[in-house]
Amino acid sequence: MKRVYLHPIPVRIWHWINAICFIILIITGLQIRLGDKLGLMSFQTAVKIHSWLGFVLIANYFIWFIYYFATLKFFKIYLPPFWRPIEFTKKALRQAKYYGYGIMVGDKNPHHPTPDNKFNPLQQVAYFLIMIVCIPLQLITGLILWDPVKFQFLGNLLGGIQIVSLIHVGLWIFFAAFIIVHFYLATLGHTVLAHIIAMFTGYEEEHEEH
Amino acid sequence: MKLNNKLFYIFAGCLFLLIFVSFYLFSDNITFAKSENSCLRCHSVKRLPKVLSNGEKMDLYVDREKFSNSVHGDFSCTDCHIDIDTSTHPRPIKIESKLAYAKEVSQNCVNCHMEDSLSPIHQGILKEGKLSCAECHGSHYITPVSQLKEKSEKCLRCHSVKRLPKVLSNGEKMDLYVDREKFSNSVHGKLGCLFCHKDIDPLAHPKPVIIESKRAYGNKIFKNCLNCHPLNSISPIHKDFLKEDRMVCLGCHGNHYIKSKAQWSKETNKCLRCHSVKRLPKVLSNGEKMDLYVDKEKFKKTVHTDVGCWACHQGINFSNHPRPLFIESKRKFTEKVTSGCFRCHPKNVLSVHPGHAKIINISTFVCVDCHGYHKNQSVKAWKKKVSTNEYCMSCHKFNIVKKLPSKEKLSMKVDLSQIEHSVHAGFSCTDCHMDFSKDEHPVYKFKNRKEYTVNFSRNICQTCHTDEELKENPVHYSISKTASCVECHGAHNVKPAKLPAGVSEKEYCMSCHSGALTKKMENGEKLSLKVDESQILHSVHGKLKCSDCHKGYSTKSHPIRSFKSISEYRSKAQEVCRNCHAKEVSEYNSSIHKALVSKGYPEAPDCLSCHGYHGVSRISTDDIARYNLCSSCHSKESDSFKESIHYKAFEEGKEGAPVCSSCHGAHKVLPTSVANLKDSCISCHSEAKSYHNKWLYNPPFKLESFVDVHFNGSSCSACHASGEKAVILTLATSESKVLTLEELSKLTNWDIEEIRAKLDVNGDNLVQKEELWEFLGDLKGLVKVELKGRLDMVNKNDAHKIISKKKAIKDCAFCHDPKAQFVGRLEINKEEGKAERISVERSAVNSAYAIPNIKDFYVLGLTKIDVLDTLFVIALIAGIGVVAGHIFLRIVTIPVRRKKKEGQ
Repeated sequence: MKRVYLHPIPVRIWHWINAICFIILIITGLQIRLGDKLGLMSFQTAVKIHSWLGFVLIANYFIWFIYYFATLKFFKIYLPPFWRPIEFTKKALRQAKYYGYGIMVGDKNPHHPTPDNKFNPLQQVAYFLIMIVCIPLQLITGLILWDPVKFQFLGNLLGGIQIVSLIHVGLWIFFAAFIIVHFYLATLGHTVLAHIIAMFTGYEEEHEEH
Repeated sequence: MKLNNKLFYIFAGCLFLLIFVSFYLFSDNITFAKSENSCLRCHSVKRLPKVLSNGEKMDLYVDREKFSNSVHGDFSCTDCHIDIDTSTHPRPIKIESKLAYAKEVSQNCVNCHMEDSLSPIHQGILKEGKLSCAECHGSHYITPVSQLKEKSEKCLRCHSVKRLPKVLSNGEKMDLYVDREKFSNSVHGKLGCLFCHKDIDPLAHPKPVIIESKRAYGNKIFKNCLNCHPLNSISPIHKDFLKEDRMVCLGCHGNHYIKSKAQWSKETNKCLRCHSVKRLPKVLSNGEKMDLYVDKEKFKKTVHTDVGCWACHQGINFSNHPRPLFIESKRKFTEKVTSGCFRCHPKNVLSVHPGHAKIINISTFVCVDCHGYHKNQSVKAWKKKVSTNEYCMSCHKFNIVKKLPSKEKLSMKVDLSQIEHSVHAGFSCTDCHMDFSKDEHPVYKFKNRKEYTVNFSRNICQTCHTDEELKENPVHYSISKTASCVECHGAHNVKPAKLPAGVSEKEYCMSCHSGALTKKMENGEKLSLKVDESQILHSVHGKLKCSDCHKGYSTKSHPIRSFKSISEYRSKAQEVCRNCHAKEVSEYNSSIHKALVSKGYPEAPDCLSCHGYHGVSRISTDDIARYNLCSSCHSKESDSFKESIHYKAFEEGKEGAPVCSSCHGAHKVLPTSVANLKDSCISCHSEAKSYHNKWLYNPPFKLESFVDVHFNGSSCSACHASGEKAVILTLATSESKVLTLEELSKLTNWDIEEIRAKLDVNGDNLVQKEELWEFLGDLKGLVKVELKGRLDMVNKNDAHKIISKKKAIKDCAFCHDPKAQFVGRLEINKEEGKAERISVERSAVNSAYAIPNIKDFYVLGLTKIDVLDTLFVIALIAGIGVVAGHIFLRIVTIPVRRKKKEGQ
């Protein structure tokens, strides 16, 4: 049994804050949209929570951003090696094959996480896009919708408030679906709770098979 | 024998010749009637009378004895009959009639009885020429007047005895008694009976004569009065009596005991004996005091002095007077007495003068009002003596009114003092009224007052004030062609034409414009040019001169302008205001009011409608005036406003309480779809943003810009007024310029009806979202357009119903609930006037097509794109599905993995 220190403390803090915010934001977002159908809370409460957590999320994003860019780990962990596209694609395909087939037949996970290479190629692409495109876009469009007058310039840049709203709602749909998949994937460690525990403790236990 | 016969013939011939020659030679000296004796030699022989050419028989007999006893007994016949040529008489003379001959002969009476020496009665008879001297005095046997009386003795012998009266054929009783003494004392006492009773033949009397009635007999006898008192000798009044045949002489003068003037005067004096003494007046039953005093001397000078008291005061005589007489009031007594004036002065005579004719028919006037009572003079004498003005004013001082066919009334009353104070002071009435005089009073028939005044001006004023004089002032000249002089200058109180030098401009202008001047527009409309000076003085323009506004007009110049209509005039009037109020006018010119005026709406207001012509008031300082001014046209809006908290404040007189112009502006009143009314709200509620921001913010920060988000997207009234709310969509260009219906029509080449048809294809008066997107699709092919959105009142007028702050909408869900109660409206502005609003399916804003078409309008919840909710559900199901599928596959493949593990 080999223990790998995969998730340093800032990352763990960031992750859990992010997780809670995302879930609540998705739910309050749903309440705001379906005020006539859903009665979890009042419109005003939903908006207040949504706004507050939006800002928490922004702040949280900065934790992530500062940590990964300050330690330059971003470039090792998140940035897909686009300068080696063939090798990367092969690896990605192998990883996809693992999730779709290998895992069923008891193949080993082709990816072995290390502190410097935490994500398999599929994760790398997904998280890179999420962290660099989706979340910032969601935060920015959220900000615009939070005060369309104050951030009118941004709104105009994106093509009007309707487009901003469309992006925000579109990403909301994506994140809602993603979180389900993300949670499921988190259970695919050597035990169901392995990855989840790791996200608390920071140490991933790698079951060494001989 | 032959010879003897011859000699006889010669002798006889010579003798005949001798006689003939001697006749011829001595005819001058030879006459048959050298003296009366020689006349009477023939005429004292009773012979057959001469038959005259008119068939009359003329007796040529003269009683020698009677003639010699007459007063002319010593005269020779030819002294009177100077027409008889003794040398040729009795050669037959042609005599037309007895009367003609008598007249001819009577003319010779004058040779001895000179006309001057005759009494006035005689002179009158001669003048009349109906009677010759011979008629009364006889022809040959002329009796002295003193002997006439003796003849009456014979009559009186019987008639002075009181006997039974004669019963006439109509049953009347006629007293034949004559008081001898009274008769002999009367003026006719000397004349005897037969002078009047010519019907009586003294030789045949007392043979009974048939008399029909007393009146008929009176009528017959009175004609004889005229013998001595012929028509030309009697007064016109007397003449009229006779003409009228209403009265005969006897009616007034009596029959046998006719009084002389002296006798009448004596009776009058008897009355005056008491009434000329100043005594206490008689107190009448109504309490009035009636002075019974008559000034004797003055009465003697009046026209009625001859007729005396009884002529007017009939019923009063010495048998019943001074027994007290019941008199109700002075006026009643006057009316009663004056009604008797018409006995002598019949109405038809008095009506010769048309003015007089009218006056005598006015019951409120009685004769004595003008003519006086005891001091009245002869009109003729008075007329001669009196001045023209006094003469005219004798009637025109009264409130005489002339009624015109137009039913207008024209006062004929003249205030002489007005003339005295006018420029025409010193003029006599006839200086202007040239066709009138003391003797002439033409009657004019005017249809109406206008015709009268215009005629008056042309025929009277312009006689002196000629066109040439008027042309010196062109305006004056042009006015004189349409208006009458008296309208401005007055009739009798004529104002000076030239104002004194140094007169103020205002006085100069007002000298004409204070009158009822009007100007006729080319279309026939009439504009009053009358200016009420007090209005200006009380206005904010009180200190201005006329020319400050009316540029180009001064005491020196007065251009004549012409306008097609009053509305054209009023549009020009704006230029007057612009001189000083350029800002306000230019603001007004961009207003909806001006647009409506230009479009020709008669009720649309211009400067004058609100500010008045001359009574210009500063409306801005008077809230009530401001409010009333707008509400006079906008009553519906005013009613809505009355429901508002604003009106309540206004009514309570709170300072700064808003009225219409506080929000809509005074001059730049714009259509509400264009006007930025929010700024109007904020101009008073300047703290609005910070107040809203106290609760209206998105945590965690309180940004005012979040209030702006709401202010931009909805009108204030959307939350602060009661009424139905709507999502209002407006067509705009991609540069956010609001498109008007007209612009749209121009850009697309569709006419306005076509645009409406394309918007509502199925014609259900509701634009379904499909119709809207299709329309926009068509439109976008031609022009770049998009829809702007805002939240506002469905009924614009509801925006006036502002509610209190407490009642205002504060619940976010009111708008942000996807099922919020909003209807949809498409607002299309128009170049002029109010915007058009068309119902639109509200769910159009929830359609995916709203994203490209309504780019800038986003209300959380309200405008959510419905299809995204479906996508959310699909994504959720997909996520769960992938997981579930994977788990399922992993469970299914458990044996495979176990096998592999076991294999290892």
